Amino acid sequence: MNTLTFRILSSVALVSMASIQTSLVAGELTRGPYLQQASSDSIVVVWRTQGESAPSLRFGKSPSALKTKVAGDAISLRVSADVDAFPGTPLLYSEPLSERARRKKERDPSTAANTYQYEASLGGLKPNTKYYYSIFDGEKLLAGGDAEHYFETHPKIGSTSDMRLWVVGDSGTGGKEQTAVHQAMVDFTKAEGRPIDHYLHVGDMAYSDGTDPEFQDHFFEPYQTTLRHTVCWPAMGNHEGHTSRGISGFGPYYDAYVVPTRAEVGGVPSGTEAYYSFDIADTHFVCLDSHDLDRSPDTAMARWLRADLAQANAKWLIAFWHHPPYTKGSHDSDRERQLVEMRETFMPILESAGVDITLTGHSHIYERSMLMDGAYATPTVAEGVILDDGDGDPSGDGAYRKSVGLNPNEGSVSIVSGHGGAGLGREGTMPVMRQIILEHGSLILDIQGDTLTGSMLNLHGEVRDVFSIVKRGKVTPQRIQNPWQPVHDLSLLTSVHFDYRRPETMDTLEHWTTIPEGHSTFTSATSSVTGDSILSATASDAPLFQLYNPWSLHAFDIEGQVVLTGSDNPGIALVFAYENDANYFETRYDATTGSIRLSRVDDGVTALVHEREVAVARDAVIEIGVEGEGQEVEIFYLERGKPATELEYKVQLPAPIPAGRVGFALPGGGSAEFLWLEIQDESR
Amino acid sequence: MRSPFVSLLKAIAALLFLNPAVAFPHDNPIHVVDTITERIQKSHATPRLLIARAYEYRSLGEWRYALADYRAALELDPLSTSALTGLAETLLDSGAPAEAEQAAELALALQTSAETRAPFHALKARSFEKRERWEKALEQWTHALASSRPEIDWFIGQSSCLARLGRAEERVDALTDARKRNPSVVLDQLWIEALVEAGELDTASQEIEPRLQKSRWKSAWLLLRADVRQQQGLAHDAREDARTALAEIQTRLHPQRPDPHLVQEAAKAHTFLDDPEAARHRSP
Repeated sequence: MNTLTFRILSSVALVSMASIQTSLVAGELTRGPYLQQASSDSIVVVWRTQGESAPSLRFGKSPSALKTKVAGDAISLRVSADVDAFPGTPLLYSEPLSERARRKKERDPSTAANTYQYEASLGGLKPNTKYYYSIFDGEKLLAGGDAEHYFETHPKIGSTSDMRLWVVGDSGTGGKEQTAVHQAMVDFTKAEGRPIDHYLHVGDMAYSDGTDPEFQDHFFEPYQTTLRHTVCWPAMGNHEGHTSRGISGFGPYYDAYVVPTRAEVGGVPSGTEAYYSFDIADTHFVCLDSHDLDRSPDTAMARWLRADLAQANAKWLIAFWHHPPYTKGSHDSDRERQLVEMRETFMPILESAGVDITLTGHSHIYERSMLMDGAYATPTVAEGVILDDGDGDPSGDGAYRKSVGLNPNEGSVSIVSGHGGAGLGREGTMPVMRQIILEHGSLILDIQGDTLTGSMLNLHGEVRDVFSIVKRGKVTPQRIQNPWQPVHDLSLLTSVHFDYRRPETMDTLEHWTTIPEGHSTFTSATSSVTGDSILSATASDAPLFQLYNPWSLHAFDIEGQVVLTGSDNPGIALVFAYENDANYFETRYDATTGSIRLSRVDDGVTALVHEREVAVARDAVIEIGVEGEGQEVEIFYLERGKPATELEYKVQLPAPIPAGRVGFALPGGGSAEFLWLEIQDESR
Repeated sequence: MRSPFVSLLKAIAALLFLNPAVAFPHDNPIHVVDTITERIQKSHATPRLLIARAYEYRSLGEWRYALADYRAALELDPLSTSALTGLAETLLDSGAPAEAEQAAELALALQTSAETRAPFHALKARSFEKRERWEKALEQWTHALASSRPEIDWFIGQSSCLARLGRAEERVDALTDARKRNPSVVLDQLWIEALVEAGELDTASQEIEPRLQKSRWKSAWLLLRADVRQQQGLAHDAREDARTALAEIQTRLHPQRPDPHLVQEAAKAHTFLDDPEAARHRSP
């Protein structure tokens, strides 16, 4: 919601509310109720109905005694674009006409017709107090009035922190992993008898495009049991950015949330919902928009951050946004501009103001750094920027230590929590990270007085990482010139990619095994056909296997663009489930016989599983691929520039694919030139 | 009757197309580029695919490829606002502001309302600023700010141009108006800076004091107060403020990789301390 607009229009909206109350048409609850913008004396409760209603909210200190009623001008209204509301009533998202012709009918991103969104502002509350609530349409109870519909006001700003935060990123798939991650948190906190107090979402909460229906299906419904009693403080992800814009504060993301713009919950006014700050007890929180705002040092967001931090007088400082300053998960913070700019522009501002924790997502992985400071260089290196290279675990190497209060450049911990539900990925090793875990999960942060503890909880409810920061006395940070660094273990990556356009991807060539050794070459070269830089493979006098060493996979995707250049025996096979040269599977693209054959070689005996006649081209760029999981193999073929040659089909195997190495094979005398080749581990 | 807000939202909604909503399974830009390239190879290039790929190239800082894709998109659809906008933004990023201005002008000509024109005026303003054509830039910022929902950065642009042109009183007026339209602390700070620049020293002092007291990091306000005191002929007091500010800045400067903004503040403090050599040394 755009609060500014709201305030201006509130009096107009009231007139509309009055007209609604006279009509008394029953509205069906379609979203919420959920909580927003809590402070020590106020909160906003939001819900939607399909059709008009006569909204009111009742609250009190017991579910059976909801004595205070909120109605009238304390409840703001927004409506879907089709509703013929009073002029000036703010509208919920409706797709631009220019976009409608481009998309499939079933993917309408707009708010459903006849939608009414109510935002009830409750003020004059007591700090640190639990209230129960219910919402009504006239006298009809829509939700609440039970033990599950409650909210707790914040403690007074400046009081000692005693809070539990739940941090989630990249969760909005609506899939089983998202549900399991949520349930794991619920079960864990229940078992500990310590529920979460606040929820931070670091973006990508509604895949794929952050549309209004996706918000409903992938965010509000999966999390409703939490959202009805816990405020979610959001940061916008790039997927929400497909339909929402930070600059104008417009779109389904901004419809869904009510966040401070005028320092309603501490901090200084940002004048926009794209970035904001708030205080809870003695912890200051900053949320930035890393997606679609200018990230230059002299623009509004950077200036606002400096002003906000200059005034922040807290004991703890936590910043969160979407694009991580440090990652080698499914994204690379050394390559991608948004990530580089967040590191180069915003980390110096935050660290010179004493930030303790930065929380991000975007990269679908859990990465947690050592205590570090000043890692602004590109590419990121660990040397000279680590202040404590231990694991930070109180029962391991011990907690990280900082001085009391917010002190510049005493170190922060950077956490990528992009593992909330979307498919995981790791393409490298970030040297400043102490923990890199490729499992779905979420992060629980406990702040109690001078100690902050982070626990990564996986989707099975297991705690997979624990670290603490303790702020006591005066600590003088020491920079470690040669700190501990994580091992770059190729077997832990989820994809390997060679590309003639990107020389750095050729580094892993050494990790391929050639069988038999010495009878072939696999090297970078210049194509005799296209003139491009390519990977050249040649089998001199015997059949050749090239196998990617670090992996043994049972679910995989092998793809490449290749030119078959061997004149005697033109063909190539993509190999999987390789145990040895007498036991493996292959999909062979054979230009001589004009076929694609899927075979199993068992104890040296080849058994054909499936064959398809295809005019496999020689001396032309062809794209080939095989993807396997369970008992299914999907095969792909295309001759570049000839769409009619495209072929994609599935073959069922009699038994599941066994785990084994993957790669390709050439017949004796065969040779091939790869423009690119990519293998992905699909098992995680 | 529909509210004016409806047309405004529709206008803004149209601009959403600036950010291509083409969903791909892997959103790592390198993979997205590969996926789009494959799609183009399998079928043919469409403006939408080219614009989407250009966006990814921009996120990788690969201006040359991004420009090529935007231009190819414009060959297929010369009236594509998103291609023109992307082209203009990329030209600005890659240091070609004159060409950026031309692209923005073409996009501007395609817009039919003041609301949709506003961002393109802003784009033109930025391209003029890059060429230090402050009058021209100011003219464009003024057009952009006619929008009912201007961005905070547009107010900053207008203020910066007025400062460059030495039109201090106009700058105060513009920021007074800006503060009425948006509560951002950034505009509040700029307004006080403008008061100092315009010689409205008493008002500025009154505004600085409470903010100075409220701040944990005080250097920005101390330096502004030093400016006021200097202009009031209180050179000794100005130096005291600068000294205090410098001491605070030094506790915050990273030993190897200082925040450039703090370095800038340190340089300013040295200027008040009549230490031009240190000021020069500190200038980023």
